[in-house]
Amino acid sequence: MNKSEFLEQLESGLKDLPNSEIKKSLNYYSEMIDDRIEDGESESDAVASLGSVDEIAVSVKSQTQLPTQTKQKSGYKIFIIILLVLGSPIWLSILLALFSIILAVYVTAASIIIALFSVVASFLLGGTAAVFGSPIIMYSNIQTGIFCIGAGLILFGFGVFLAYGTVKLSSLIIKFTAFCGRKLKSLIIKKKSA
Amino acid sequence: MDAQLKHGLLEVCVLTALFKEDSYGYRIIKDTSPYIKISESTLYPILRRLESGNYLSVYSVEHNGRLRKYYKITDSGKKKIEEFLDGWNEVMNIHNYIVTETRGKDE
Repeated sequence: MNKSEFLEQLESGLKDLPNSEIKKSLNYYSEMIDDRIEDGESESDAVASLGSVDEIAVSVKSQTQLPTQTKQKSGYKIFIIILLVLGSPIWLSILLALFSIILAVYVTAASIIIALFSVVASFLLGGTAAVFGSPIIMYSNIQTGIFCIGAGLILFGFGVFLAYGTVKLSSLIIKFTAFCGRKLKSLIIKKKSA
Repeated sequence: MDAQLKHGLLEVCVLTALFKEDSYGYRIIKDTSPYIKISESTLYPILRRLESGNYLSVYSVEHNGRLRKYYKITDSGKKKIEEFLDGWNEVMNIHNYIVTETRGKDE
């Protein structure tokens, strides 16, 4: 086996290692072969005296794998942190936008519910006021007073009817917003981990 | 020689080969060969370990159109040799004990 064959086989035997480790060990063995040749050995003798390529590869791997793996991991973490800091103008604004969407959904749902309940309250209050106010009107005009009682009762009836619908609708809206909130949250959390 | 004992001696032998002047891989093997057999594949991890422990430093020198790595012993490398020599007195005591107990003739 000549020098370049030996180095090629060693390189393929070390291919799991980081490139810097492979290069260091190839340089070392290349220097060793050159020094032996310079000392008067033939190229094939110099290569043969190093021993089997497989054994060398195994011994290099067993000596270097552990420290380089942990180094790689910490380097990777630092890289991620740098990326996060540098990318903050982008992901921060996306995050803010998503939070504003969630907030908007909640505010909209809350205002719809408040509006519905106000309508119901105005029907009920208006109806009650008309019914209880009618005796005063009856003093001056009996027909108008009776009309007032009737109108008041109709309003109150409508109010009760609407109140039932509003309660049902509100619980639906609350459920829907909670569902939307969960969806958006999972979207953000996925974005963060990606 | 016992493999475990040899392992401990190798690092100190490599540092000793660098004590008087800086040297390179092949010469370290040749210089130490009359006393201890170090193969290329044994020397490689020793040099890496000594370098990462800051017992020696590495620099490259151009030689015949290629780069050759030279190793230079550091102060802590020299200290390591001193510690080894100090510790050796203990080893000699144990050696004496073993010799007198097993081979000594008590009259």
